[in-house]
Amino acid sequence: MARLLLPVFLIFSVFLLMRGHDSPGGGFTGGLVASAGFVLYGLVHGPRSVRRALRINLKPLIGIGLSIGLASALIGPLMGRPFFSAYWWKLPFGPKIGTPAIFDIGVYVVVLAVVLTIMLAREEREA
Amino acid sequence: MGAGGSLFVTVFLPFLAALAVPGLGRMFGRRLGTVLALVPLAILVLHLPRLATRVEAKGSIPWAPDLGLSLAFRIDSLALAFVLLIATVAAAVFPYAGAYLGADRRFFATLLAFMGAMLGIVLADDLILLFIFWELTSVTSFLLIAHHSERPEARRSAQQAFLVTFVGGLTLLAGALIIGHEAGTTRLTELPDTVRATPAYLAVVVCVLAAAFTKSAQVPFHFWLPNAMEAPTPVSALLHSATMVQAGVYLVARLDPFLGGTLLWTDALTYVGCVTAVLGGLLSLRQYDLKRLLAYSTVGALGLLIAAIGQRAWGAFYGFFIAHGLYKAAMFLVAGSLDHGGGSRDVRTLAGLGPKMAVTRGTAIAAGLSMAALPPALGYVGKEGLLHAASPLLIGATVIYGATSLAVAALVALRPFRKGVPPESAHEVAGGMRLGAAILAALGIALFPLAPALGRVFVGEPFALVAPGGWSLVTWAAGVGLYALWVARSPQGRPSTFSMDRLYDGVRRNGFTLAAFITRRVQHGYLNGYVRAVFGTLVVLVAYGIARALPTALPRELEAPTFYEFALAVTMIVGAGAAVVSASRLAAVAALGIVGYGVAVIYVRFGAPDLAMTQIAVETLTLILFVFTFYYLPKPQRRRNPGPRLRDGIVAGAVGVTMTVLTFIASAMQNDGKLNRFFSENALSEGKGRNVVNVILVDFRGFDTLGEITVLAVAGLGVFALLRMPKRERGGGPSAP
Repeated sequence: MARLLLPVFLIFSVFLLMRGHDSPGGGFTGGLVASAGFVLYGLVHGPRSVRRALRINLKPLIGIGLSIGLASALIGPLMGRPFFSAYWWKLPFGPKIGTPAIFDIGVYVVVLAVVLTIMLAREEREA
Repeated sequence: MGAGGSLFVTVFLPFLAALAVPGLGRMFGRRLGTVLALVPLAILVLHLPRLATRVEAKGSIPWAPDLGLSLAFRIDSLALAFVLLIATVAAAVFPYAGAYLGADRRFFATLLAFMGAMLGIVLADDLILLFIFWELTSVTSFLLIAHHSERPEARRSAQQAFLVTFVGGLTLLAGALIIGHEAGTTRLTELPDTVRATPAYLAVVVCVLAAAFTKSAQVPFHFWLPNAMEAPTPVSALLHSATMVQAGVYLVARLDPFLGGTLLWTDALTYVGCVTAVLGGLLSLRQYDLKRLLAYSTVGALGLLIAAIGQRAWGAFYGFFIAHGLYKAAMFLVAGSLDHGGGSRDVRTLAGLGPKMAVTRGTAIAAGLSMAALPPALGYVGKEGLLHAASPLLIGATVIYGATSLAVAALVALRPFRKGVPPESAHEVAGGMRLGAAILAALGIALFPLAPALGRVFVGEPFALVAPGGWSLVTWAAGVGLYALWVARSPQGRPSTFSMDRLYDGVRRNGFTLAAFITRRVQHGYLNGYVRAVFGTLVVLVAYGIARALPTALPRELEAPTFYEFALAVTMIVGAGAAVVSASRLAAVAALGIVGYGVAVIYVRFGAPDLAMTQIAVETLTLILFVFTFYYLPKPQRRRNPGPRLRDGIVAGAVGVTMTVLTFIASAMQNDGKLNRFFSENALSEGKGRNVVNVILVDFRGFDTLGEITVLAVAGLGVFALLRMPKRERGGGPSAP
């Protein structure tokens, strides 16, 4: 049952992330919901299976999230504009994407990685 | 940007290369050092043409215009000299390091980062930017000195170097901020001359000189440099002879047009520089370890450079700076080769290596010529320049230092190769190690005939190739005498009745004792003690604030609660009560959950869905975490005396009352709603989003959020580290029941 629920949680969390800019949601909430999904999975199948399901090591994932956030802020200087300047591009199939949205993705990843690090920290094996 | 673009490339290319090191390491294996030498070579190629054409260039990107911060770079003749020296020495050191240390990815990434930071210092046009790169060199230097981190000596020396130079960096920041305040800008190319006249001048000079003297190992801050020899030899060659320690010299030279010309400036630089030169030179002769010999010699050379700036003897400065950078780096590499191939760094015992290490010997002699200031080496031009200075103090210091320099040169270049019996395993070192050192030494000779041209580029007038004056002869003679003295007396051990090094140790030890004492008193291990302390302080401070605001702040009209709100409040209160009185931990946790979810419902009721979702998620995860943790705790004990419960109850009650009163007052305060209106109106047009909360988080106040996720990341890593620490006896009692 948990195996079925995890993808649902993950899809919902991404949904929350994407709609965050116009409706309730965003990176923090999305990340929390995603980590809740993994925690539920872990309650049923054990912590080791969570790490397997994630496929990426947690501590580097924290760094990746921070890097994504920082990279979105550095797009400005790369174009000769101030740090954290916002850029928006219109995609052909509808939604708009911009540096704040990329930043939000970074937030999502960091929240997910940190929460899982804390929840899984007590098990014996290295991540 | 145009011409300025090359400056950005120069500074950031090493950092990008550092990021690519893991991949490059996999691709090139043992050749990593040689491949990475392409980075400094590229920089060299980029800037060498400036010697012949226009030297000046600028470029900048606005970073935070409201704060006046920009990513601004500028190159001129001073910066060019440093850039060329850094790139040349680095190009020689990288292949050497590759042969010396193999393909150590962590090492090379740090070394590249260091190089980028060093280039950043000399090319930065903004004082704050310069400060950032300054501290970055301190950090990378720390990592590099402690490379052999299993050795306690290495760790201690790295810590010492870092503490001394980092504190200096902080004074640099202070100085930069004062300058910014007085001059209205922190852009170096826009600083007015008027800073000299303001009352803050003294403070600025103190700050700047503190930074420069700590970084460039001037007396009394010189003690960290000899200890930094714990670093691998390539690091000593690059950082602690030719580049990092020169950062202080650069700073002083760079700020001289704005801060110099006064008696304070001139005297401070001249006296400190000369004392350092003499002390460094004389102390070097008490050493017998090759690297420490060279380290003290470097201290002295830095002193001479500082004094030269004080006297504004620019020709002498540039000449000596270039020559010293080349020969000192070469000498360090030779020392490393002798260590590697000859098996020892002790000059008292090294002998007979001439036949087996011919290339190293040739390199050592070439570099030694420059170091001893003998023609036809560039060092001769440099020293001659100093000896023709106007100040007798500077001349005297140069004579003394020059004599010691010659003696040390002889010790490194002649003594290990003299007639004798080498150890069985003696061998010449690998090509990579020979090549770099040889090129640096050869440059010292090759540039000699070019000296006049160099002078024209950097100072506007050619360096004169004159015949040796009287002082030169005195210096040489004294140098020979000192060498003979050293050989006859053969120093026994590390010196000094009074040593700054021991003073540092004492301060550090006492600092740790004090810290341990405080920690034992404050961190007693009782969780409810911590909570009481935190909440108690909170109550006292907030109550004080409330008491001051009370006469004027009146709670506004209160609406009557609806039925649902009332029911919600009652439920939460019951839950809180149950948490307090229940005997079972799990029941208490569940009751707390009622309160938490109640808060989420409040958020929904009052129109904050994002907060509500976050609250529910966090509450759920926290409950799960509690349950997991409590599983391992022993059963709670029944308390017999009511005393502690009463005390805890009072604190808890006080917190509740205080926060309630605070909430009333806060909601009653006049709020003109300007911020509210700004955000609601601009969220869609500027932030392109309808969810104002989210737009604020990731756009308007994005920088705050960046800080928040960084804190989150650090907290997560901290929890991980705490829970994974090896189990050992913990002082202190049980945690809360």
